[in-house]
Amino acid sequence: MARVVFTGDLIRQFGTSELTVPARSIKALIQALSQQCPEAADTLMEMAISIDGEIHQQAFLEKLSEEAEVCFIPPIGAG
Amino acid sequence: MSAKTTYKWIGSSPVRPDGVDKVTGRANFGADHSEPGMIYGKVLRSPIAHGRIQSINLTPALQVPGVLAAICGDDFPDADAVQGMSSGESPADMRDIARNVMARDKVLYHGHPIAAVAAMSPEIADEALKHIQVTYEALPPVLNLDQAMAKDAPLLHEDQITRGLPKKPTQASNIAAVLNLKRGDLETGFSQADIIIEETYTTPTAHQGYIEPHAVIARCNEDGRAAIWCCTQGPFVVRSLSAQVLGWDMGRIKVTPSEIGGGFGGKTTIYLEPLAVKLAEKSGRPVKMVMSREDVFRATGPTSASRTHVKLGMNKAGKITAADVKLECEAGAFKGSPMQTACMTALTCYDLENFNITGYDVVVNKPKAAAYRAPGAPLTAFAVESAIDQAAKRLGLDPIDIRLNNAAKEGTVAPYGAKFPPIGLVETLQAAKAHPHYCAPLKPNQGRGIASGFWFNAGMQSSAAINLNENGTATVITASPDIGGSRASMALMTAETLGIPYADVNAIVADTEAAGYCDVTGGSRTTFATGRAVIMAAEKVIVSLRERAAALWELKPEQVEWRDGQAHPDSEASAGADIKPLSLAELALSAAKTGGPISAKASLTAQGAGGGFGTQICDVEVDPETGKTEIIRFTVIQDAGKAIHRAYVEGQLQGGAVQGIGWALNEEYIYDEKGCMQNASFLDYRMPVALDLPMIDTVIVEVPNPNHPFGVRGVGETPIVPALAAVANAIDSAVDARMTDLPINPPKLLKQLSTA
Repeated sequence: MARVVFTGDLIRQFGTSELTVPARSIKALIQALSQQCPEAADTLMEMAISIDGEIHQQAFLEKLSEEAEVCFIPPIGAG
Repeated sequence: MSAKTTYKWIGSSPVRPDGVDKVTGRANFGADHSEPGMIYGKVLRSPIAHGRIQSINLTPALQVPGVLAAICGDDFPDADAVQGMSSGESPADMRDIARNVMARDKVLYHGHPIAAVAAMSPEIADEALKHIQVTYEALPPVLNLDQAMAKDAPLLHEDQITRGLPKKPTQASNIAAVLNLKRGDLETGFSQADIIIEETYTTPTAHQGYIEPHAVIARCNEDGRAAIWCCTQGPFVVRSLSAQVLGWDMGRIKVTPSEIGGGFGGKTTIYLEPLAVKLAEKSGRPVKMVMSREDVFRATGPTSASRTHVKLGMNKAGKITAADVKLECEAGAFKGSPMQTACMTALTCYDLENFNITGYDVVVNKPKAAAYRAPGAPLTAFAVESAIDQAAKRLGLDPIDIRLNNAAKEGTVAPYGAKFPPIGLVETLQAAKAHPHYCAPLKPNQGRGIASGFWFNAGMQSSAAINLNENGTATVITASPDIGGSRASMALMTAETLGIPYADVNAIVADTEAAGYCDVTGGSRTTFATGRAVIMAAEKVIVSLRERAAALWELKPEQVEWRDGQAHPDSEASAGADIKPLSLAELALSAAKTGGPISAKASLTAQGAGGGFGTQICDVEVDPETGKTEIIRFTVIQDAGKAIHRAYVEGQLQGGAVQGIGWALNEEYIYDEKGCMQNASFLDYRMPVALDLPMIDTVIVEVPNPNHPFGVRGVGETPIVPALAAVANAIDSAVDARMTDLPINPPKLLKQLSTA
């Protein structure tokens, strides 16, 4: 079960700051979360993601371990 | 992935491949390119900061002899039809980009493009601009956070609804977005504090200040394709954004990046490019457009002005018990200030149980903010690092010890929710404390400041190709513009991986049709991400070289090892056999006989860019009679993971610190009450020059990033982050004057001193 940590607007949309989701990839995780909260679907696709502390700007196909910790964070622009 | 520790080339400082061309003036920057039959484009810019465009008449301009084309917003697809987010590192609203490049129904800042012409000479084009007839309905300009956030504020965008609030508003607002990050219980945290520091800090609008103004040449061919030459941090982003603004298929556009005279984030978007293409299409001639310095200041992305309120609770032992941070950030004319990253980095240096961070992205009638070196991070770092210094002073604690007491380390959960992998903040603080600078004596009116800072660093998409030449040299091709030494870094990583001399590698930056896709050079990502693509391509070349040697020796490839730039038979194959190693040059020379040219390509989405932390020590001397602050000593200490080209890394640390010093002491946009910038030149917008600064000392800490073969972390952005607070803290140490409003220029400091 992946442990999902939300920040910002997603906490309001999901009504919680943490969830556990039975997903073994980011793709499956986003699909599951989008079904649970359709209004958050676009936001989830725009966000950067950290998996076990490593920040990914594009993580769609990344695999998740059984005890993965996933954070959805605002996208990071840079100079 | 585990990093090696001993290298032949990595960590050295060989001669820079672009150095000779740059010091001899041979290097071709954006404005240096020419095309046969080329004409010159100029932009008409709004003389008011806020207004509705009632009419534009281009005909009189077209009647000026020598004018070949004129365009305005009507020549582009309806901006409302340009939907979606841009690709690349920093998603941006394409509708906003389209309207920023060329105003449509409204002008939103003084300098906003309204129309453009192309003529036989720059002088004729300037004359033609005077003949364009525009009528406006002037609207009240909204020039600061208070005006923009007032209840009855004039709206820049009547359809802008604030994002991120608990309940979606029904009324439009100049507040584009709100972000909240929190953990723990603030009330409990503050109840555990022995002291509370509460202060509001402000930073002004500041420009990246790159030396080279934006420049572009565009040519439209008879087959409907266009070629663009420009100075940019990302040719693929120019291709994508320009195509969307023009309503073209991006396959019609080829972008060739020139040498670049600085970017610092300001050249990760487009301004002139679609205008030049449209003028070239209309005139049938190649069109060159070059911004003046005044254009650059008035109409290209500065970074945001900001106001940050910090409430910090700390116990007597110097442990932060709670932190409440509220940031308001000017976005300029369109949403998208670096508010989010400013919030995410505000408290990232520290391991905190109780905090609340709230950010507001606010539109005002100023140029749209663009990325600037660690976008947003210096704004909140100035506030938080100043507050921590104030707390240290109140408690009588050492400012480095107080930071070590609270420092984030591996396993700390950052305010944005991610748990840190190995990071080097503690190591930079320890190195600062051990540095001779930290205990050097100070004279009267001199003071010392400390500050730390963080930047995420990015990965994203990169590609690289390596071609071996028949003499055993290698050409490395990427589309990552070299803004901070990436050609040298790519050559070093190639040389190290292949085992050949650095001088035998030629790294080049190619166009969008000759190189594989690369995201922009930005986010301190290129040495990490494009470097990984280069290493992957070099490893593929080695596979090919082992196959060639195996074929010549009639062995299996797995029986051939690659060491020190040579193929060797493994111990089993070489036993009793007289097989001499084959060098890369020998294998390259015989390539025609063993399968043809040797080359390889690699592409990736690079994950796991390690975060960058730094600590800075600043000494100042304040003249109490004039209020002038002189930087007398400055040391930058930063975790680079692994420095690939040591001198270039030192240069990045020095350059970032200098930009931060300028922001702290001098730089600011000054507007009149109508929203017209009053200091749009380097004479009046005062950036530090060599005479203003001491030699900036550097200490490179190396805590390897486990996600790079050599341990690389990005280094370009972190060094600007602590510098603002380091300077302010040093001034307070020197003359007991806590300055919370940047820039700390002589009149402001003198006023503070006289008040005290």
